Amino acid sequence: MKQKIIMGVLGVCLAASSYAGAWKTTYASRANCLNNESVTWNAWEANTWRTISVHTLLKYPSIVHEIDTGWEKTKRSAAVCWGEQPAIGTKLWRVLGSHYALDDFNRPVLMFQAMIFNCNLIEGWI
Amino acid sequence: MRILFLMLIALPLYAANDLPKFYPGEVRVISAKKFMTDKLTQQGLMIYKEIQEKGYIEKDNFASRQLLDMHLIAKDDMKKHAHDGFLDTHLKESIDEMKIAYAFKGVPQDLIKQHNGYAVTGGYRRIENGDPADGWTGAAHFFDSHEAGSCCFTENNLKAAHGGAELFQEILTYDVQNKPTKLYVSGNQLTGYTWRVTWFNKYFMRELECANKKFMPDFKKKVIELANKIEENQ
Repeated sequence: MKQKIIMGVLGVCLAASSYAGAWKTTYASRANCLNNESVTWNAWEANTWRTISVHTLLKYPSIVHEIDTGWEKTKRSAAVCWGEQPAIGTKLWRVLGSHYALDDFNRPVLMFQAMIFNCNLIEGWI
Repeated sequence: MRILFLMLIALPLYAANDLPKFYPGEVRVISAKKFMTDKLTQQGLMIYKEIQEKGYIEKDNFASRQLLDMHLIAKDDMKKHAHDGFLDTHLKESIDEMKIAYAFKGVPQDLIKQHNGYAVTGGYRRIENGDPADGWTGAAHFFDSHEAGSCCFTENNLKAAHGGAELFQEILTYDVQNKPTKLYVSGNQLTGYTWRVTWFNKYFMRELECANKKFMPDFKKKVIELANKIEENQ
């Protein structure tokens, strides 16, 4: 059963776009929250972002999943691994989120980077 | 089943090797010459050229619409979200309502005709994650200015954010207090226009964006002057 869950989880690791950052752009990651993910968002204006989320299994650090949204013009850039953490409360994963923005002249700017172990609840995680 | 699982996790992973890497807060000025075959670079230099020649990039500008309407909507947003806590990203009346990971000053009072609120930006740092302080890595100050209309001053502490920037010297001036400065102007008759001045001071990426319904070549000078006054106060 556990193997089936893990297989299902691996099968749905993908970069998905779906919304916070009520006035200006905000960046966040969360780990061990059913999902492991990194999200960039701005409720007002679409911008060109690239969000990279690297998930490392703490007990076996050679097991690493990397989700890269690629450059996308959007209000919400989300690199999500759905259901990667089967139950809230146990800290199996570490998430490194890197959030790049394309500036006005098409240069990548690293706006925020963080390593997260917790399920950080923040405005607009829906 | 176990063998298939092990095979899947052994697959090579895509690595973002094409992206620049930085130590926290690093800002580099480089030449675009090495990147001339890169399509994004070519487009970026074309954008700069068009601004130099025409004065602006013609496109819909939502930031302009937001800024031009701020004086109508700001008070309601501040009132509605006054007690939503420091993780809330809506407008705030006072800096004290926000938890910023460093000392954010905002725009000095004498430059403000009407205060339209503060908002957080960046990411939220936590001591429990090994960060030196709890708080957001950036903030913005919306205001109506005396000379340049409705504006927003945004500051990102790239060091606190573990971020960084690489700037092409070909598109830079040093118009704001002798700091590397970029100017981007865009808009159209439908949405209005914004003049966005971005400058970098040590670890900070600062931006002043001001809106006007019409394109006026002289407006650039007013925005740069205002940016200089704001930077003097930081």
